[in-house]
Amino acid sequence: MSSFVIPTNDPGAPRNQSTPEVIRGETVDTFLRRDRFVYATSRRLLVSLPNYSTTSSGAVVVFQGQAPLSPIITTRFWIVGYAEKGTVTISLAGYGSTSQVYGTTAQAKSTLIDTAFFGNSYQSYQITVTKTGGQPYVNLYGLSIYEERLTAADLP
Amino acid sequence: MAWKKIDDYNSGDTGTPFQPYSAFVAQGLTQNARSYPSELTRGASIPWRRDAPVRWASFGEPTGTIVWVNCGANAVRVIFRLSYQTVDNHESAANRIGVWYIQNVGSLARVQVAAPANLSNDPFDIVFPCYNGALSGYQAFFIGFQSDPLDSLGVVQVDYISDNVMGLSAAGGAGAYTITTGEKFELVVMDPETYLVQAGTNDPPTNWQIGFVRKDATANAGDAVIFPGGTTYPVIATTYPQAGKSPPTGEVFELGSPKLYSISYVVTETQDYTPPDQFNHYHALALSSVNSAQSQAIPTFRPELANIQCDPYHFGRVWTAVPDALTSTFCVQSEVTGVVQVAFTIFPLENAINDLTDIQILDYDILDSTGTSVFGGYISQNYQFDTFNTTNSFRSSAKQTRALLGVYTVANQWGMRDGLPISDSQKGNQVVFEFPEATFSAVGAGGAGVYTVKVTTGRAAWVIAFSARLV
Repeated sequence: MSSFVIPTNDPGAPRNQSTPEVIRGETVDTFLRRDRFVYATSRRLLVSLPNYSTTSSGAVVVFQGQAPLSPIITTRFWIVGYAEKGTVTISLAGYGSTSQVYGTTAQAKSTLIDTAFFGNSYQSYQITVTKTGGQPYVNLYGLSIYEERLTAADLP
Repeated sequence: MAWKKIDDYNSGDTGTPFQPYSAFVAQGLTQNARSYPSELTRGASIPWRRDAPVRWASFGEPTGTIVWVNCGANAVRVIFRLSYQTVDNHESAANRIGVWYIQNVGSLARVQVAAPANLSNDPFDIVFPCYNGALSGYQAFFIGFQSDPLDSLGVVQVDYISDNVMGLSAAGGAGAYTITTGEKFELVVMDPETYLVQAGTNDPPTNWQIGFVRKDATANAGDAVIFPGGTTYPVIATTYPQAGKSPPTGEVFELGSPKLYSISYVVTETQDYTPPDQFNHYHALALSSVNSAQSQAIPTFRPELANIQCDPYHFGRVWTAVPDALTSTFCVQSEVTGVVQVAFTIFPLENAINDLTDIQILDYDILDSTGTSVFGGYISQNYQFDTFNTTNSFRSSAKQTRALLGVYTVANQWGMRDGLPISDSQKGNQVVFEFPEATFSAVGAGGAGVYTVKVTTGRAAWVIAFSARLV
């Protein structure tokens, strides 16, 4: 049997289960790795934001809310966005903030933010958008925050 | 925590000495699979614009919106957390401003809870027990609010009611209502005995909600936009005095009106679901059951990709033709080949559909991290929808803009904004679209693996409850 690791991708369902009471070693290994994969990757989308545009020259607090976290440990969040001509700042109460700076044409950005958080509670968040100086507007086409998938060290 | 490493077990733990290794593994895997629903409960949050917050007031009936909740497998309870703030010190004697409603659109089961005044934006939780049976998968919930009348703001003279406009004049004297321009969250209460209605009509309603007032620039008078509208009710006679009657007056009351910042939900107390076949390690299909339970769990508990769309002044989103678009970003954390499904509820606002050539075209696309279409270009779908008309207001007209319940332009501001009466909540068209199968790369540093769903329309519509998932 393999050492305890969580597969990067879904190992795929064993295909030789039609024969009863005969269990091949590699089949059991696939079951175990798949079991970890399902558990480790089944995380929550905390929030997905809609598009937003402003010509305001100052920072605009556009969204604010509280996201319920999974009951199992979460230490980092993925923040992915697609925007242009401005800066998007994501603030997580108690854990500071991180910013994504977008260019003059639409770009995709991804950021990991550490929280050292233990789950089963609510996390307050706030999203601020600031137009880049000299640009006519800032467009946020979308921003999503996900719990990061679990690692082998996270599992009990 | 129920989920365990299988090698945490030993034969002693199972209570079955000399248990075959195959049975030991199968039992552990099955226990893990059965724990998925309770360990991997669903939850998310839906924020609305902070810089232009939704402020709700509705006297006639609960008014609100619809949100979609992924209930996972067999949820027996969903907890909604409302983040709202009352905007002044006014409240009823019971420290409440109205009532919150949460209704499962499918079963019509509903809970209602008194809404306390909340000056500090403290979180307010409402528990929705799935009394009519466990809920699974995506479920639509109506979340609405109905106002209490609060403090009296004074007496005003009502000159006429026509269409959705109530003509106001200052009553004068002590206790007079002060007429000012702006959005209002108020109620005019009139005694039918004090005024005349047009001949042949029935008793008019006594309560009229005011959504907006335009004050006359020169006179101490103004026009109030009312809800419900006058076209569905008798209008006041416009010649006074008649038969010894005085010009009618109404007393204006403030309505409970929370500013709503976000709604969160968390699915709790899920029941262990039963694998397709009863576990029995002597049963020939035991491992097949585990196999199938794992396969079913992957799409069921995969993170959602999107859950809402909103816009300033619209609880939901007014969606107009290109270059406007519904957009939402997503990522996956393991490379996966699958299909993305999007779902939303659409209320067409333009051009009644009255022949087969009058169609609504929606174009769907997914862009990769470079902004390039995953499918080599958008995919068009044609739809035929009836134009949406609300029950307790007016049909589309110069005064009633396509923003339906919202404030759309300064000239045409009217009525209750940012919400949908519960009586209209099921008038929308549920659109579900499935993209072709594609392979999505795992998210990485520098924007790799960031995808953007993009949907455009040919004509304006109101959209609520946009959601997306990968299966």
